[in-house]
Amino acid sequence: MYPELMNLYGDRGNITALVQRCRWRGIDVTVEDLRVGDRPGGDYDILFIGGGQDREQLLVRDDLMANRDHWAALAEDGLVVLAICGGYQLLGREFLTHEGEQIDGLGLLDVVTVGGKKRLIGNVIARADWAPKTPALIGFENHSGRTRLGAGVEPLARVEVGFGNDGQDRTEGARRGNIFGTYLHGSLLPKNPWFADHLLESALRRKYTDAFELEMLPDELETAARGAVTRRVGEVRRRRWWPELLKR
Amino acid sequence: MSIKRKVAVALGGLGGRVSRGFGLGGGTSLPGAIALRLDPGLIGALAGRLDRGPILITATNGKTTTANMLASICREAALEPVHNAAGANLTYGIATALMAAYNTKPGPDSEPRIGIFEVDEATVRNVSAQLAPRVFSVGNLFRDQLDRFGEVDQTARLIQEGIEPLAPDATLVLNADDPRVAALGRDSARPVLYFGLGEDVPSATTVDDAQDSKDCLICGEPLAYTKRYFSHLGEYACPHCGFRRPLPEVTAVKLRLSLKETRFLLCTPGGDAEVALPAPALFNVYNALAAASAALAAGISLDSIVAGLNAFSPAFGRFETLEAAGRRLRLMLVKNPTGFDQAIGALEIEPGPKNLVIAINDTLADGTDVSGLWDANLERLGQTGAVVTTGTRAHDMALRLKYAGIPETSVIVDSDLAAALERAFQKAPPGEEIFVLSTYTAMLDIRKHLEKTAGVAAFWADRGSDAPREEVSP
Ligand SMILES: [Zn+2]
Repeated sequence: MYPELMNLYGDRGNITALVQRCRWRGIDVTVEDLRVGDRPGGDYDILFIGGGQDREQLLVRDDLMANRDHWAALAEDGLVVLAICGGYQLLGREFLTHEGEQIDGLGLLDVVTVGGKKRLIGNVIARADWAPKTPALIGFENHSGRTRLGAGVEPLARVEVGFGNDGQDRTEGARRGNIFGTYLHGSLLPKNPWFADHLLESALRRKYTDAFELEMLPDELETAARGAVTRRVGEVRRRRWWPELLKR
Repeated sequence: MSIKRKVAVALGGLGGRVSRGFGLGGGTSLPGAIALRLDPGLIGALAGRLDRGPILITATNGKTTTANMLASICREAALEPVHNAAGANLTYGIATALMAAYNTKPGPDSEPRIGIFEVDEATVRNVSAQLAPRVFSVGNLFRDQLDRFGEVDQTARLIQEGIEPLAPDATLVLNADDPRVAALGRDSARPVLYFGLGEDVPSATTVDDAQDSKDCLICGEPLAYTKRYFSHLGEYACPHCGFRRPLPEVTAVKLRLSLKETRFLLCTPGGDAEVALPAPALFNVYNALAAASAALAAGISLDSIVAGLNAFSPAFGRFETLEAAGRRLRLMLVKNPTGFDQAIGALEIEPGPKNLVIAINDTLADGTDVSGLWDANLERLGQTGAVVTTGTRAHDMALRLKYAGIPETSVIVDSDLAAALERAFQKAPPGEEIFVLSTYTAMLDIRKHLEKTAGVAAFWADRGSDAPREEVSP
């Protein structure tokens, strides 16, 4: 959704990952771009919305709200939704800006976001407890909003490295059924193939049969990339900061 | 000059020498950092002593190249450029350059001095009041190092704040083809000189580059483009509020591109002249237009401008060419998706498979967030030859290539730079060309390695012991 307005930090890479992982399995896939003013259809399988800048996020919010009932109905029907950063905030109940302005969100996720002053930036490693036996989610966060989870959602993951939703409660993202919100970009799905496949499988089960199972893909490169990031994160955390400063 | 000011300059210089003496580097910024601590008004005082005043150059992409082109032009015009070193584009680096000029006393027949300062987008507002530039040039505003500034809108605001304190007769030199930059000149009380590509340059509609500015900055409605050169640069108009591309007075027409050089006719209000710029690709035409326009605004003749552009030699990592172990290496710095798309665009100028090394580091100076790799249009690499990925994020790069549809069998991953270069040499026999796309610190490491092993002369030999170092925001 809104590919020009809501595409910061390589968000497009998530679409690339979903498309390629379908094609590699011989699954037919069509990508439709939704823009401000477009009339959304009803036959979607997966909805993706990325992050945007403040000005653009407001334009998008107004457009989302114009079709609020439509999106709410699709969500109740089990539509798979992945929303990242600004998109995650828009899916929540409301957003309070740093200046105290209150903006309503789409309300698909029971979360409230408050604008902060300091940006929370860095690599994130977080574990999804609802999907045991899956490897940790790896990504990069960069947000000033602090998001608090309500009773109607559960966290997407538990932060091992990084800030997460509000930098305090060690939760990252939110989920309710097939609706997922997260601050992880980086790009999220290429480096977390199990999560990409979980979205695809959920969408295919909704569309065809509950028993649908995806065929496995050789994800050696993905695994190697994850390992490299994990090592790199450890390295950066251990490294002392002052020799760097002296050199400047 | 006050005693305190003199002490600040002397101590700052001493600090830089001591730091270099201990092998810590710091020659391009540390003296300025020390002196500014003692005397915050130093930049204004020293800049005021420049015979031909300072010129300020900012842009998210290409400011070093533009500044180097302008320095080359100034030398042809018998002016001595006072110029901050590559990468030292924050306040400290500017103070250091001014102090170095102040510490070398001009002789009786030395040339008049002119200041050329490339300034980081976020620093512009901190230095422009003090520096009081006579010419203020903005080349482009692409999505750049978002982890540092937050967002692109913010960058435009920071530059606007840098324009406010300028003298009423300071000239703004702006890129008409970049709506974000052109908007800075709207309703300006100061003289504005716009530059842009000529009418005969065709639109590149097939190219789907990383785009980050398609909405009107004035009213927020989508801009309508009649031509698009790359990314959000082109001919545009807002159907809602009437904001449109201003007519540029300095243009380039009759473009002929090759990997070796770029020829075009430079059209200015004072006449036209043929340029043979020894640097490839369309974005270097923009850099040349920015440099030529700034020179015109500073009163430099068209003859000197053309001579300076023709004599330009590409700087560190800006398509510089070097010979190593019998191979020709072309080094290209890629610091954001736009830089990536430009580098790939340059590779496409001449057809055929290419040997590629892509080196991605994620230190502070490179940008710690590598997600920009997913915004770059690497799908365009399609039919290239062998690719070696390296650097601290070698695996992220390889993964990006996999999802761009490049066969895993033609990609070699080795995060060790030396080993990766060795692999690239194995793939490209002597006599072949290897293209190296790299982030900033990886580029430094590659050069260092080649100097040690492949008989490449130290790039900074002509600049003393200063190694270029990117600063972090103060
Ligand atoms: Zn408008």
